[in-house]
Amino acid sequence: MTVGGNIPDFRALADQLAAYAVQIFAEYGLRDPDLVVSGTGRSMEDFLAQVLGDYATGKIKHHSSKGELISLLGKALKRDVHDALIRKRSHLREENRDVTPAPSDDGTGTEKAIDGLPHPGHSVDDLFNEQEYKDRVRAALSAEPDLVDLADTVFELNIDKRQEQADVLGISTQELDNRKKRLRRRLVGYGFFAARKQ
Amino acid sequence: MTKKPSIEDRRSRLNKLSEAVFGGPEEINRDEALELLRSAGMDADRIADSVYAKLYKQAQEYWMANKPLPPLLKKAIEDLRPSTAPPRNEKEMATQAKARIERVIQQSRHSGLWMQSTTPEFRPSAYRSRKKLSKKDESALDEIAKRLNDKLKGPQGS
Repeated sequence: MTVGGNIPDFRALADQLAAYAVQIFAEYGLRDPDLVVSGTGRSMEDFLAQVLGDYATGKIKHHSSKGELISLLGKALKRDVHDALIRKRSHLREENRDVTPAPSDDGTGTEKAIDGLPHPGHSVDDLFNEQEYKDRVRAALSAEPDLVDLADTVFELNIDKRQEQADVLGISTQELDNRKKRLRRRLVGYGFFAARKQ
Repeated sequence: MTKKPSIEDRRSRLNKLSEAVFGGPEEINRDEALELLRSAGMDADRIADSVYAKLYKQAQEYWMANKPLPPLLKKAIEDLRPSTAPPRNEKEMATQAKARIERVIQQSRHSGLWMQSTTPEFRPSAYRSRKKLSKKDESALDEIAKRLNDKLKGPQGS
């Protein structure tokens, strides 16, 4: 329930959160064109309805002094997607335990999952791998070097303040905001373009 | 030996990186949101319809249990109700009719602009090639052509 704030427009919230969800999916390389976290059966619409429903029924409470409602709901949405990914990986690990190692060419044996394909890095421990995350983002931005530079102010220089990022890049904060818009579009377009091609 | 960070620590680290690079959801305004969805090949209306169906199902549980609907859930269902859904009352019918009329007016405005940009000027060149016209006839026809052009341009053109 919003305390001390305005009553929100749920259609606008749904559009903004949907775009944010698409961004999260692209950040984590989830390229299912139907936007489903495979193995969990949960779609983007499920995550959106969950968050909006929890807010609408008072399970998520918002106080305007604690920032914008959309930020609160965005965080809840991201947490739900992460939790689904963790559950999926935990489940896969359990299933992989029951799999007999299949002999590989060098005779050492390779663990195979139930679909018969190797899952070398599919453990919960590997899920939030920082290097993999950075590589994924850089690959999405590689066609536009100025956007890679922007990402590297964070990845390489650990600068997270807007003004400092703009200073390092030698641009105004307004230009920085424009680049961030391009960056989001590039990430999303890259992630889902690749998905459609598969 | 350095202890491997916990999954929570790594999750929180990636959240910080993401926030610093891409910004939070508050930085995506509605226009940009629709553009992002389009570039991912998604239809915002279809997503909203699906979310509406799921929230409606949640509302049904309240109705079946004879419990009052939480006001925000009621508002969510009203806001997300598809414009193609049959109207439930006169107010909704009026709102839908208004929206439809606005769409038609908007479309006709666009076609009006198209007309303005593509309607050729009345060019009275044909009669000028006729050799038998007297000076008087020529100037009378020029006057008519001017009047027709003024008419075509409308009130602001005159």
